[in-house]
Amino acid sequence: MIVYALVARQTFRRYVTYRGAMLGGMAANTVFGGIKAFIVTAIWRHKTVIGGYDLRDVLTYTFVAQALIGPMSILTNNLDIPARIRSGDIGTDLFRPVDFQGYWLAQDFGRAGFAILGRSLVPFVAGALLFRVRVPTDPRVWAAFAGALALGMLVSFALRYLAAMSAFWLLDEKGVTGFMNMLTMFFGGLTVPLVLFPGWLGDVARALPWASVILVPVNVFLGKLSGAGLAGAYAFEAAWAAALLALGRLVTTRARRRAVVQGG
Amino acid sequence: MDEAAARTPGVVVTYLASMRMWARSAMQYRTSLILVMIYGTFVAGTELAALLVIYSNVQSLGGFSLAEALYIYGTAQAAFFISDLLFTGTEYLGARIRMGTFDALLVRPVGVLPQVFADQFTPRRFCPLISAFGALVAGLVSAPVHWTWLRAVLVPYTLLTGVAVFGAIWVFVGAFQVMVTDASEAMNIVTYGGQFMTSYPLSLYGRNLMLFLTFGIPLGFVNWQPTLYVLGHPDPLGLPTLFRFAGPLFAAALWGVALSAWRGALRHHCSTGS
Repeated sequence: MIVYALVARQTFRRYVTYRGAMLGGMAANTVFGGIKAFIVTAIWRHKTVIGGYDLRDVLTYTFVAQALIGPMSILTNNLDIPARIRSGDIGTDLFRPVDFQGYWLAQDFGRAGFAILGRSLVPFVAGALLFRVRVPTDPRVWAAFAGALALGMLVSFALRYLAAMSAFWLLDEKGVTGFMNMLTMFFGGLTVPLVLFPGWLGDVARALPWASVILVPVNVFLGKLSGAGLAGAYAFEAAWAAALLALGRLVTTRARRRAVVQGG
Repeated sequence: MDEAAARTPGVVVTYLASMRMWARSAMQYRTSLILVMIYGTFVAGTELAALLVIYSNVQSLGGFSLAEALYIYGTAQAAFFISDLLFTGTEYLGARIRMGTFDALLVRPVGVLPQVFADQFTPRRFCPLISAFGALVAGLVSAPVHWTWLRAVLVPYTLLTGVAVFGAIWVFVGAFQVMVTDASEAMNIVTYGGQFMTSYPLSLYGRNLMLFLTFGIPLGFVNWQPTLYVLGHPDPLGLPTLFRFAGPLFAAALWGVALSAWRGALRHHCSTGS
C-alpha cells in the first residue's frame, strides 16, 4: 500500500513543475464558469425551481462543476498509457512488481490531488465572490463531500482507464478517449447541468456512471443528501466504481496477453 | 514586375500548399482520422443538444425563442469553425517554439504567417460545420423573420464578419504564443470562450459585459449586432442602427492591431538555434 502512496506523491510533485499549464487551465475554467452562470441565471429567471434546484443551487453546481474539471479530468484522458505503449515504455510498467491498474490509479490520484489545490480552489472562490452560491458551513457536509469526491474520482479513473487501454489494440487511442471525454462532458452534466435534462433523458443520465462525477458530489455539497440518502448515493458511486474497475482488470489481463515487448 | 517578387510565391499559394501538405499527412492514418472525424461531429452535436436541453425547460432565453437562438448559435458556430478551418494553426505555435521547429517555418523563402495558419491542418476541422450549419438552417427556416433583401444579404455578411473577427483573434493567439510560449490554455479564454459566448444571445450577460464585448474585445460583431437587425430585435444597449452594419470596420481595426502585434512578436522572437 505504501508503494501506491509513494507513486501518488511522486505524480503530485511531477505536476507541481507544470505550473504554466495549470494557471491557464484555472483561468479558463473560471471564465467559462462565469459565462455558464449568466446562462443558468437567465434560465432560472423563468422558473424558481427546476429539477429540485433553485438558482443558488444551480450556481453552486456550475462552479463546483468547473472546479471538478481538473480533478475529475473531464476534458482530457490524462493517462499516459497510450503514449507509453507507442514508445514501448509500457514494457517497464508491465514488469513492475506492483499491480498495473493500481499503479495507474495511484498516479491518477496524485494528479487529482494536485488539481484540487491548483485548479479547483480559484474557480470556485471566484464564483462564490461574483455570484450567489451556497458554501456548506457544517463540517460534516464537507466530510461527506470528500467521500463522494473520492468515489467519483474512482469512477472517473475507471472510465478513462478503459478508454486508454484501447491503445493496446488500436495504437492510436484519440478516437476512443475523445469519445469517452465527450460522454463524460455531456452525461456528467458539464455541458449543461443534469437537472435540466428532460424526462427519460434525465432518468437515464442519473442512472449512468457519469452521474458520480459531478451530480452526486454536488448534491452532497448542497446538503441535499444525508443519512439513508447519502448512503444510497455512496452505494451508487461505489457500485459503478467496482463494476468498471473489474471490467478494467479483465481488459488488463487480455492486454497483458496481447502485448509483445521487444527487448533491446 | 520585379524579379524577386516573381520568384517568391504569394501568400495564398504558400497557404494552400501548406494546407495540402498537412491534409495529405493527416490522411496517412486513415482509421484514426475517420474515428476522430466521427467523434468531432458528435462533440459539436452534443453542444447543440445542450441548447435544445435548455429550451426543453424554457420558452425563451434573454428574449429569444428557440428558433432565434438556433440562428444565433448557428451563425456563431459556423463563423468560429470556418475561422478554425482557416487560421487555427496559430494555436500550435507555442509547442513549435518549445520543440524548436518554428525555425523550419522561418527559414523557408515564403511568408511565415500563411504557413502558421495552415499548420497541422486536418480534414477533421470540417466536421463541426455540420451541426453549425444544421442549426443555422433550422433557425432560418423556423424563425419568424420579415425577409427583405437587406436581411437576406446580412446572413452571409454576418458569417464573413464573424470569420474576420475570429481570424484576427487567432492572429493574436499566434503573437501571444511567440511572447509567452506555454500560453495556449490561457488563450482558450478568448477563442473558445468567445465561441461559447457568441453562441448565446449577448443580452444574457448584462450591460457591462455587453459594452466590453462591443468596444473592448469586439465579439459583439461576430454575429450579435447584424443578428439584431435580421431578427428585428432592438439593441438592449440602445446603440444606433449604424452599429448593426459596423462589423467590417471593427474587424479591420482588430486585424490591424493583431498584425502589428504579430510583427512585434516576430521581432522579439529569439531562436535557440537548435
